[in-house]
Amino acid sequence: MSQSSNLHQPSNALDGQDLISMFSAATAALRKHSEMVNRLNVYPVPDGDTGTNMLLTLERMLDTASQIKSQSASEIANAMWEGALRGSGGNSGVILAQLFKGMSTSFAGCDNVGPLQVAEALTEARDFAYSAVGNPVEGTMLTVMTEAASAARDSATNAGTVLEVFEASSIAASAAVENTPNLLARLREAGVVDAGGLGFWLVLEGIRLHLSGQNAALDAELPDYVDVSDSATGLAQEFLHSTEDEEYGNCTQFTLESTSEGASLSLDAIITSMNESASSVVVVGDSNLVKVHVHTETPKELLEYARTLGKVDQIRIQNMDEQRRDYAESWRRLAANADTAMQVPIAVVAVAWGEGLVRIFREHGATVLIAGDTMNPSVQEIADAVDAAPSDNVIFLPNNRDILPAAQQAVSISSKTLRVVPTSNIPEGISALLEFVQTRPLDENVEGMEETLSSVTCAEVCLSVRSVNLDGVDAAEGQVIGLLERKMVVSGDDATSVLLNLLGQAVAPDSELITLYWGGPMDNRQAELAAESVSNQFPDVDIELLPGGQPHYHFIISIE
Amino acid sequence: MTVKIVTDSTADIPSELAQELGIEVVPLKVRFGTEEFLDGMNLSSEEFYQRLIEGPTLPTTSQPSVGEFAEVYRHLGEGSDGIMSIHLSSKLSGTFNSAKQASEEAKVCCPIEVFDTLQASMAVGLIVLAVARAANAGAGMEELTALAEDTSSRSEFFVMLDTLEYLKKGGRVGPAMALIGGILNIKPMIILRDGEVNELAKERTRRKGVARLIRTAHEFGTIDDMAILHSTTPDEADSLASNLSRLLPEGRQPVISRAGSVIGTYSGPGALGIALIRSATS
Repeated sequence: MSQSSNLHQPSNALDGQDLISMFSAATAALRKHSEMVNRLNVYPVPDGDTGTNMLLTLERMLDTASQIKSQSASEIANAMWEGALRGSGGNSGVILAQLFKGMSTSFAGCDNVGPLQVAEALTEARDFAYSAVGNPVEGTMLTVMTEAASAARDSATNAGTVLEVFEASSIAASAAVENTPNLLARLREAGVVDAGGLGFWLVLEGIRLHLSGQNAALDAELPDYVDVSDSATGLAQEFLHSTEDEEYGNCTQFTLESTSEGASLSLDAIITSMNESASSVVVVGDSNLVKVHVHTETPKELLEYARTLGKVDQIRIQNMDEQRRDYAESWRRLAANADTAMQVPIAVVAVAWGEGLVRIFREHGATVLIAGDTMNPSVQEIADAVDAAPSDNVIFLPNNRDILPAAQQAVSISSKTLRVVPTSNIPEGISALLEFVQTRPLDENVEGMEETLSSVTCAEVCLSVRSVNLDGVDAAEGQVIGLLERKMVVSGDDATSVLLNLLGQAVAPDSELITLYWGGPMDNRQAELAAESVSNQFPDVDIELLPGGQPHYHFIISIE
Repeated sequence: MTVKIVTDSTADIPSELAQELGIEVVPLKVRFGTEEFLDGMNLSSEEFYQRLIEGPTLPTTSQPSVGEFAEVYRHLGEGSDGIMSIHLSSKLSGTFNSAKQASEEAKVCCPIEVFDTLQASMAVGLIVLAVARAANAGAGMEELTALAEDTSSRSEFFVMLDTLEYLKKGGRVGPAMALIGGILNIKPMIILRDGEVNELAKERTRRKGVARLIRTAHEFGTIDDMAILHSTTPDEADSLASNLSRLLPEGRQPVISRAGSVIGTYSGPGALGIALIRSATS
């Protein structure tokens, strides 16, 4: 509590700057574990992004609130809500943002707030969250918010202090997260707790740690029930002890195996040498095999050096600057469009990723908002793209189920007439875009585009990022899996055989056309061979093979 | 003494039907390199489409000359009450202008009305058929001109193309039409509006395209007359005709027509379309 308010207010009253400190701690706690939250996706697909979405929401919330020079809890809460709303991306980000809407509502007009208002804010937030999602499902972040709010009210009405309120709600939230698999069969099958729920608990836990005088960035630990045992998740968690720094460069990961001559690896020596040219260094393992994670501007040189230490394998380099550059580039392009491009009666803005897919959307007249790998656009980014589009009437295609909630929120902050056609994958997005006719009235276009969504089936082939038994299908970490309308239906060791099996289940007697957008780890030749096999298995169906360039996914497939 | 009816070969009226109703068809020309043919006269459809698909160069087309029209008018003008000369959209071809100029220079004693339908292919054809039937029943110039205006205003023409390439290379893509193209294989669907080619839709498969043609036909309510046009797929045209015949008044069947070499130059192979005249009440 700040000293100024202490003199005039009850000892446990919070002012605006207290809120900022609390939520800085909450953000630090979530940041520490956001990669783990990402990995808890029900489907073990490589683009899980719940943690990232929630973190980006909080970061934007803090940015906005920090710019307000005010002690008022009410004013700061308003700024937090404003920032969170604009920064929220993904379903989980949009739900988390409702916490700040709750605070903004409950703290209205108050310079200082106490335990009862905090409890009320949590309750309001919970109600806003239920109405923000079209179809509330229990066993998710919503349930965790309900339990946290209920415990907070009990504590506050029994004269609990602000710290006690957060202690009670954090404990209740944690228990609720542990219980999520009992409420939701999908989680049970996948053997995970709900990712968004865990993220929400981390927010409360970060605040609790801060109020009790601890350092959330260092002290926030995941509950025991979160399974961090498998190598991927275990390692991922280890990685996040050093993510306070904000430099980007290349996120470089690889394994290092000792060469056969009995030379053992020295973890300490590796860490020391890595630290010379890289940051965020995490090295885990033993003298035979270690996993290395670093952020570096010079991944090639670093790998060359690593090869002098042992056998380097499983290299994964992700350019974090590039993702941000992509974003920046698409804004510049959009902004330039707004100034110079010819205005059209109706503009279509579509989210896309992968060079080939982006090109298809552009060729058919859409303004493309490029989404990075595990980086869903925020409400603000969507609104900016819409505002920059060359028309006052804009149709938005999210092309991802998880971007839809942010798109719907963007409707309220955009200055234009914005209509969202709820495309939940790339094939639906392309179908909808083809239906768009510039000269047709907006309503007719939207109606026609919505009608196309059921006419196309989407299937995907990618690698499983963890071992899982789901929908009756077993997949080991690193195996190829096939998803049909986002449901796992097959796993195997070879992408082509998984593809053929998947299509065997997806192709209907009246299917006419299979479009294979290849990307991820495939190369042109492999994709052509796979398409040839598909063509042999389905001689009566047209096959179109196109370079999608999407990350992670061997194939995104449209069947129509 | 009756009014004589003239049109051009792009109306795509089946030749038996034209003969039966006494319609004079002036041919446009189609040229493969240095070889010139008269549309529908000295190059069979089979040979034309084979050359179009397999030939090394795309054909070019040209309108009938003023002199050619004038000769036809002079020939028909003797002993008739007048001439109705009905043509494809002046925004797509110079044919109308050629005919218009000929009507002024031909020095024919009877009146000549040159009419711009703002349509193409069998949509012009259906208008011509309606006017010819009325002329044969004894209608005069004034009545026929009014009929041409009325049926034109109720005419619709929309086509599924296999590719937009031919239309694009022929420079007939209207200004209001988004440039379709690129790596995705699509079936462009076009519709004539105000005499120009506009975008109706894009479909990814032929079956979806056919379904769209049927849906679009239904959207025009009750229909007086209809024609199905194809360039290389007679079976598809037959089944589309039997699917849509119930939209027509009892006992009427859609006219099935094959796109001639001039329309075919722009539609390319695999085109399938519908021309229709909406009922006056709808």
